[in-house]
Amino acid sequence: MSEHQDSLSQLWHNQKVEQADLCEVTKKWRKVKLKQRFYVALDFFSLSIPFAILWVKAEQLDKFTLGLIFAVMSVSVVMVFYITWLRRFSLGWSNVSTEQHIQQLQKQIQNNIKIANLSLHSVWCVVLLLMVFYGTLYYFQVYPPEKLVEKMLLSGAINAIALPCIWVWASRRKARFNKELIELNHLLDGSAS
Amino acid sequence: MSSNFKDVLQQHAALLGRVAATYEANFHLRQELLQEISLAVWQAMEKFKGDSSVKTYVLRVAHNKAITHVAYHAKQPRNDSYCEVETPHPSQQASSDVHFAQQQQIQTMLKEIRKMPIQTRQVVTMSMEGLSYDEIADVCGISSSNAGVILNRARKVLMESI
Repeated sequence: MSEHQDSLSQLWHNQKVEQADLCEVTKKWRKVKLKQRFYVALDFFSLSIPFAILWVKAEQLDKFTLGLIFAVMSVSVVMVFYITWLRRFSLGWSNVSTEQHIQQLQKQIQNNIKIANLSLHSVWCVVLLLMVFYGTLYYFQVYPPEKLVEKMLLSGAINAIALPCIWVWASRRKARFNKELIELNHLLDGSAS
Repeated sequence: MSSNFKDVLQQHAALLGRVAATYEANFHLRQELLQEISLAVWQAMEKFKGDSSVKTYVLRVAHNKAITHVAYHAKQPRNDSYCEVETPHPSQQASSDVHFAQQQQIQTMLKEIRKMPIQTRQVVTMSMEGLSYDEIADVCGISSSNAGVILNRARKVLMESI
């Protein structure tokens, strides 16, 4: 056995190997940090929009609209903290045992699938929310019909562009993370291509 | 970048290159993986408490990073067939028949290692790098006897292949 070990070991140490470029490593580290901070900043920035609407327009808004924005804002705050918490593993290194690392990695990919799912389902939630919102405005006659139609057309046009884009983006991410999870499981059992 | 990290990286540069080679056949992806592993080692060294040897710690971090890398690059093929620029073929480097034969054996051995399940791959790599059964067991999160069984089976497969 030791003879086998010696010959294998000799082959192993005779490999020609590449060396890491230290400058590139430094650059990459800065880029990764910047990217992660950008994502977190973007998540928190998205919260500032309903805040800004509340701040600027609070006096002009009716109670129903104000309540709806407040409800959306409350859900958004919870969601942003949840998503930021899910991102905690993505910065990169692990010194735990490999068994634990694999479990964490599987959990992380599952979390990514959850985030993609949330983004995906937020699309029809927005559509539903808008329908309830405008339906209620119409029912209680908060605005004159012409003004209501004008508002519906404007938000409809914006969402007709934004929501399909979000849907496609989230679907692709979901498919990608599902593939990653399958690949990881194949690697674990040695059946990877 | 601290000089301490540079020292650790220089001391373990070949080791990290060999770990990368067991996960990526493709030259470009291997280079990318090596950079990622080096970055991970740099970050992780700050948390090194001396519970194990530096080599064991570096190997632990390197393997964990490599596993993350290969899962993340699931959309790309794991073989070396799609890339235009490959690792120089042994025939271009060989100055003698012996050297050529050895390079072929190395390639065969690496191909065989890359086919193995992750845990086996990791046990083999760490054994080749001179870690004891106990150290391997600690890194992998398995028992020493299990590490021994996995290693003996893997050695047999590798010897048959070369």
